[in-house]
Amino acid sequence: MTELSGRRKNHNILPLITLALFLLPIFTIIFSMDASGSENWIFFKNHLLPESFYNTIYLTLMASALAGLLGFLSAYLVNFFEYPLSRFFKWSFVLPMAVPPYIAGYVYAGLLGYTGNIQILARQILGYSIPYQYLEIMNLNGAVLIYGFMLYPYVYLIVRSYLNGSATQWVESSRVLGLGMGETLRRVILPLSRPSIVMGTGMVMMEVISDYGLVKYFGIRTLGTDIFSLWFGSGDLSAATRVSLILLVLVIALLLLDTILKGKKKYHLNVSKSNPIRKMKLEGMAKWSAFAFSLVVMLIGFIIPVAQLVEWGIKSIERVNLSALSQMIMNTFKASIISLVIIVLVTFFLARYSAREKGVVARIVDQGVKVGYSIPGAVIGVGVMILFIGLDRSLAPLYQWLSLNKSLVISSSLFVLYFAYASRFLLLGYNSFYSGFMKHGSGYFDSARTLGMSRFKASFKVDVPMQRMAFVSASILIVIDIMKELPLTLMLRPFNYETLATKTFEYANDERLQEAAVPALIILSISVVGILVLSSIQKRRK
Amino acid sequence: MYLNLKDIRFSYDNGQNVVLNNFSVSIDEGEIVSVVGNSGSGKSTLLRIISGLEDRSTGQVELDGDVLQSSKVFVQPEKRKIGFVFQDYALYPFLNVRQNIEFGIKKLPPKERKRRIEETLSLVKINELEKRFPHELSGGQMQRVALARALAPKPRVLLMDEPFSNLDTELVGELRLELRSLLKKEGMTVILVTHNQDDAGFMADRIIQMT
Repeated sequence: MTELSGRRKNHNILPLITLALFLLPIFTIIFSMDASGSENWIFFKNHLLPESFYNTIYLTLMASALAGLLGFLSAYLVNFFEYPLSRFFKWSFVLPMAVPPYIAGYVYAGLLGYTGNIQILARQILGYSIPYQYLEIMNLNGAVLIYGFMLYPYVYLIVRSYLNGSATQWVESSRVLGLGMGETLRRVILPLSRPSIVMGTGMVMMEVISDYGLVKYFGIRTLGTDIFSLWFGSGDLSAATRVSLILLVLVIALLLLDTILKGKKKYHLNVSKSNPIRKMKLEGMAKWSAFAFSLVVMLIGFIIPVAQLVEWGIKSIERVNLSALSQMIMNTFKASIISLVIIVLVTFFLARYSAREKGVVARIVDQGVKVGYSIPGAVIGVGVMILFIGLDRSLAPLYQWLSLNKSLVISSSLFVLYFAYASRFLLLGYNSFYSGFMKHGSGYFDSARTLGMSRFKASFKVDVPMQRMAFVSASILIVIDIMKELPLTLMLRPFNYETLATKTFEYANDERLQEAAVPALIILSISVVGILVLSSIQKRRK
Repeated sequence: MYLNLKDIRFSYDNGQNVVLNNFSVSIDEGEIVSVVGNSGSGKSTLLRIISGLEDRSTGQVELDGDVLQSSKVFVQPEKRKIGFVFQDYALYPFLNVRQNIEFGIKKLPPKERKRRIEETLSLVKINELEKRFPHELSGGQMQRVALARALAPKPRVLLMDEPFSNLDTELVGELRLELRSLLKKEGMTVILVTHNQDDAGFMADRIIQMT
């Protein structure tokens, strides 16, 4: 008889520790607040906080409402109707996602300014100078417009995928029961789409709260810009931590609101067979209204900003310092690739765990991973800095022993930036792998185990090859987001370290909009290619 | 003939994949017809064309003398007064049973609407379920509600796509007996699509085999 021996191992500890490590910056903010506020804080609280708070709330709610409206309408139109260029709009509606709001902000401010193309055209063709106040965009409502038109694809993608899938049979059923498209929209499509609309607008809210570049350029005070001015302007990290905590509470409140609005019910029909819905051909006024709406959305969200950037790029191409530009590109890619490797390794392991295991720990991991992405970059930046400064302080004796002549060794290195990127964008890798693991199930892995492979070997030989497409999707999403990321990079970069995003921001802030165009166009081109590759992968998967 | 389909052709992918090729059939008023055939033979497509959810490439659909679909005419699904029981029932998850049945008859005056709902609830024997939501119903109950919802507007034709495919075998035996007598009592013209020869034979006055 063969004697078998085996020790029972607890597989729950490692995922929890890994998750906790990446959530440490957030815990640090919560636990590092001192009881007495500094003078800066007291002044800020009494005089500036109310305005920043109002602006943050106003921008978040209004921009997500506009993005929700644009995203839903565009998804509704391309999914149910045929009108001129509707097939083109169906895939191109996602493109504004490639234009970071801060880049769109510079473009529109330049375009609508006194020396911008709109004013010049008006003066040359109409012989009329449009009063400045009519074209003023650098204010709260201008920022709402920019956010709305650049971020609506978050809503568009989620609603379109829902309407195109399980909602089809409900809509068809309504039509055969005698309801026209108008009434079907009101009585069926809107109630059914509510959870998807809320989910999409929730993502827009998080993007708006996280953004720093646009509001800073427009001169709008928000809680995000306050963190920067308190830390870098007044050198008061403690006051910046307090503002971060307020922002953290606001994000949690918005997440709760999101959960309440989404409701408990998720409307999903497990259809035995699905037929693509037969699109209705629009005629007359309806046809041209749908076309005009789609064209305006694409013009404002993508075509105008890109055309203006190309014009500026051509004008400034001779002034580009090629060696500095190639250094920026190198820095951007190096940061993206190193962070990508960290994120992929960690999230592959976490996603595999929570997709395969049942129980409380798996649920905690599943929810915990989502936290980082909801927290604004500036808040994570503050948390990461406090954490690593603390670590440097505790390692001071070691540094002395090693005869290092500086005290902030880790916190002034690029490692801090890579770690912060990983904390913030963990969810992007996790979602791709999690859906991959859920789709393939555990049968392949289990059969490898019964064929004599260890957990590690079975995972390496079976899970890794099966997650190839998830890896490609995750990589594209992570690289695009890190490349566009501004607040974290501005906060945590070492001296003289430039990425494409930071250089675009600096040029624009110095009112050198034409010079900002070249790095902006590189970001935009890579994002567009990434988004198109992702769309085609998703289409093929369907 | 009450319902006439003449030389219907239907294809996907710009004519590459032909599903129906010059298909013709005529059905009398009050007749129950079962359409049987293998997967991909075009059974469900046939129902979708009759209801207006798909447009044929060539051919003509006529109901009681009205042309519903031809090279010049396309009557939208909501104007056809054709009932459809979907394979997955497609009951609205945010409406209860009563509201689901009421969904297609909102335009009736309130008193008449109420009377029609009561009538339909009794007809399919689900009076006690009226306050329940779809997720609180069994497969058989969902099928009854879907049938009630389709019958409430008094359709000119009732189309049923695999109505028994999601039900247990024991329940099917009981239900199809009841369903046939109910449809006959209402004098309903019915086209029922199924892949099961037993269901087809039991329910129908006539069977059409599709290949």
